[in-house]
Amino acid sequence: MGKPTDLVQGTVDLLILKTIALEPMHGWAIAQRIRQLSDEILQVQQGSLYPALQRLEKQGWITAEWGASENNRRARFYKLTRAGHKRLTQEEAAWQRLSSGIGLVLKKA
Amino acid sequence: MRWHHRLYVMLRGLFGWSTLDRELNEELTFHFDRQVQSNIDSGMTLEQARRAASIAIGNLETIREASRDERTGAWLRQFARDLAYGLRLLRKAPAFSICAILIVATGIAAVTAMFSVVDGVLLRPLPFPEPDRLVQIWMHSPRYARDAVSAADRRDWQAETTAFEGIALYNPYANFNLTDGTGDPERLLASRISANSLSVLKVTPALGRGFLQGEDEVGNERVVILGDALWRRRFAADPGIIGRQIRLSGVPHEVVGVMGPDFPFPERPFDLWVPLTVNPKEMTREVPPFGLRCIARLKPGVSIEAAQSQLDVVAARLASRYPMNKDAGVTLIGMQENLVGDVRRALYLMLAAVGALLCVAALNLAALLSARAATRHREIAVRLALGASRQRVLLQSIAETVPILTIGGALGIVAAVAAVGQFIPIAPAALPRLDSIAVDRRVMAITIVILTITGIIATIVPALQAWRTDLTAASRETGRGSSAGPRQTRTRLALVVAQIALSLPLMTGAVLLARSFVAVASIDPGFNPDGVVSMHLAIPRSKYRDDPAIARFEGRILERLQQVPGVQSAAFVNRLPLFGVAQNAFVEFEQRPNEPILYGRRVIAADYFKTMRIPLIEGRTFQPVDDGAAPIVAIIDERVARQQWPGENAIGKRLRFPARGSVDPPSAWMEIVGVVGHVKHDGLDADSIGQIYFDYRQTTQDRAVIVARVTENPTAVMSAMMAGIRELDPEQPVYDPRTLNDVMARSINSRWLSMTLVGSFALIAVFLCSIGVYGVIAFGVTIEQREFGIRLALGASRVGITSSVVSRGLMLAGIGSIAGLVIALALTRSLSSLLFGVTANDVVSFSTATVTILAVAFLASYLPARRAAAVEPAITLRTE
Repeated sequence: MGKPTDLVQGTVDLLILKTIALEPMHGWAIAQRIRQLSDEILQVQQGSLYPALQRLEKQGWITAEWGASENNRRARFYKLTRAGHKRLTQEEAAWQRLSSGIGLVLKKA
Repeated sequence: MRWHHRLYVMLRGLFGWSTLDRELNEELTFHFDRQVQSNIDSGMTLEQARRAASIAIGNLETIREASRDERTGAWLRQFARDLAYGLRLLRKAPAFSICAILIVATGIAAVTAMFSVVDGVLLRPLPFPEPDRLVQIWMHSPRYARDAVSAADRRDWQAETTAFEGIALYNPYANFNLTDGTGDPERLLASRISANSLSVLKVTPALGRGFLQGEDEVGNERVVILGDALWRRRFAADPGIIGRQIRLSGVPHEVVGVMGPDFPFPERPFDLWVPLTVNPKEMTREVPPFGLRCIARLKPGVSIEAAQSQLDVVAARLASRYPMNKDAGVTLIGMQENLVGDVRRALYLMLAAVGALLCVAALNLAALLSARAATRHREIAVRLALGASRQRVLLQSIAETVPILTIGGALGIVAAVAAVGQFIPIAPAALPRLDSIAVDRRVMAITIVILTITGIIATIVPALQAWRTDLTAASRETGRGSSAGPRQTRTRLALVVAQIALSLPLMTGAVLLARSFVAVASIDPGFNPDGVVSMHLAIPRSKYRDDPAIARFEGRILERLQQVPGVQSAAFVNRLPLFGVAQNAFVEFEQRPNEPILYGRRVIAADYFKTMRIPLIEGRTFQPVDDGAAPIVAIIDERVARQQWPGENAIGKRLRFPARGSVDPPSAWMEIVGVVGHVKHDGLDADSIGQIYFDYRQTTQDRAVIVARVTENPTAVMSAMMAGIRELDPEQPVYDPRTLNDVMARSINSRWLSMTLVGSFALIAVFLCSIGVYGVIAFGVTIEQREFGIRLALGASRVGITSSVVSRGLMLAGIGSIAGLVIALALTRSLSSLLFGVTANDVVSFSTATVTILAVAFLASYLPARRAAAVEPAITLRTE
């Protein structure tokens, strides 16, 4: 297993939005989930996770609520707002376009 | 949905800062614990799990900082921290701070005070509904551009035009004595207004009612509306005053209304208003009109021009029909324009002068801040090198000036409020609408805008300097000389030149106004005011029913006054010279073909000439024999004598008042018994018409100004005189006691004021310039100390060094002065109307101003020059 890849800012935002789209999650779980889903390729550092959460909250795409964690501790759960769902759809579409574009270039060049 | 969420997040960002921090900490702690737990679950010991988690999380403080920066309001908090830093800087350099704050305060105080006057007088609309539709109507004739209006003409205008909603007449001179209510007998400022006046103005009394139709007819006119101030002062704001009788000059009037506090009509707040009655013979044009003023309200949508052309048609018809209207035309002018048109230019000039001062202050502050920024050049370079963004550095240099601007601005506004309070009581009589001058919210809003602009001007130079800081150059330089690149020095030199270029026109204007003032003040008024006091008297005809009774009372007053200790001689005159009021009459002369001529008509007691030291040129003054029973005699002044009988003796010639209209026959012929010197009645700088004097016992008037030459302290003698008159009649008000020197000073008050104001602006500006010149020259000397040392070591003379430094200062002043002279030449022309005895391009004024500025620049650069020359070569060369 190679060293997990660092993520650039915009991508972190997209991954967070996607991760919490199904159910509300706390910060640690978000990081874990991204790591698992990417087969340990992607690792969101705490140093970019929490600023990103603040940023998304400021934009109104996610909201936070205190709740009980799986081990019964007080944790802050993030959940997508309606605006956040819309944003996620846009971002996903944009990402698909971008990556398929890059894919085509890599294949044909 | 979105906006209130944003608002909530922002408010939390701004005010819920500590809660957010606490929550973030809790969240990060949870994350850490969860990671430890997860590590233990995968088989690590507690110790190992903790270490691994710590490594995974990294620097907690960095995460906190990064998260905070993402919050709304983060930059605001940063700016607040910068502000606090700015305040600390202020405390650390008190001399600099006080200097900078005073510069801001001075500029802002001057501009706020002046703007409040301009706003109150010129800009603020009159406090009547739809003031744009209110117009003043004047008649005009070949003789007068603005003549009073005839009541008969007004009736015809109303009937024959469609432009007006209503036309009202008023007479602003209708004063009364009041003995009712609380306090001493008082002389009241009253106005007679036609019954429709209030409805034309669209104003209703605060209490009671306005005048009714018909109350302005003879027999119904004993009603009065009180002004707010009088009602409070004299009647304790008693609402029960409505319906009560008060005696005005002894005649009972029923109070029907009380006006609200903001009712400046006509032209300013009056004590009270009574109905205007018009002599029925005037309406039939049997007697000439008694001069009235006239305002009207235009119908909505009617322009002044349209109304004017309608009136022109009526006026032309009246002119062809009635001999009295021959040559008479009508002029319409907006009511506000009519009030303030005469002072607009002077006020805007003052505002321009203040604006120039403010610009000098802003540039000066810019130079000061730029010099300080230069000394911190290295610090900024180091911060940039350590990774601070240029935006941060720029924001910080702005934050450092904000405390200076805020404190200075606040001080300035406080000073302006005080200055306006001081100004209103001494304002020249020519300045209308004094009651609407105030430093209010409107003025303060403008002040804050101006302050912001000032701040931008003053901050932009040092901010750009910080922005452009060149890292490599700054770090290469060593020692304390490393402060200013050539560009920054050039910027500061340009700032100083600009200050001088703006100050020179101010100085020139100040000198021009001062020379005008001196020219006016040294004019001989034709009498000697030193040691003469005056006070006013209005004798009620309800008490002293006929002319002989009034003359007898006046005679008793004179006798009484002559007994007052300290009074050398005492007399009356109906109108005091230089007081701003006149009484003129047409006069015709026997065996002269001329049309009747308008001359000043003075009614005096015999000792008037002696008291005022008006010289008797020929003939005699009035004698005790010239009493009511004797034939009326007259004394003319030398101007009348020269005009009517040039090169001849006027004594023994006769004059009379011509017939008025078809009813008043001409007066009897009156013999001229003396010729006296001419008196400047209408103003020292105005050309007064000739004057003709009559004895008060022969042509009696109920208005008199007492003049007395006193040998002791005028204030004490004046109160003794007033007490003496009150002994004779306790109900008789005596008012407005003043020395004649005071009266004279007041007559040139507006010149004095404009001279003093522009003069002090100019002095402040020049002082700021001297700081500016001193600043750059001294700065240069500090930097080049080493070079001076070398030059001295190589044999340069100290005198040579001094003069080379001084010549730099003079060079700056020279360049600034040339630019300033160009500006001044273009601008002083607009001062022309305020000047007297000097032309707008007066060489003496221009050179005085230039020499002053050069001299100041010389002094300001001489001090640092001496320091430069005092450098010890050995010491300087060793230090670096």
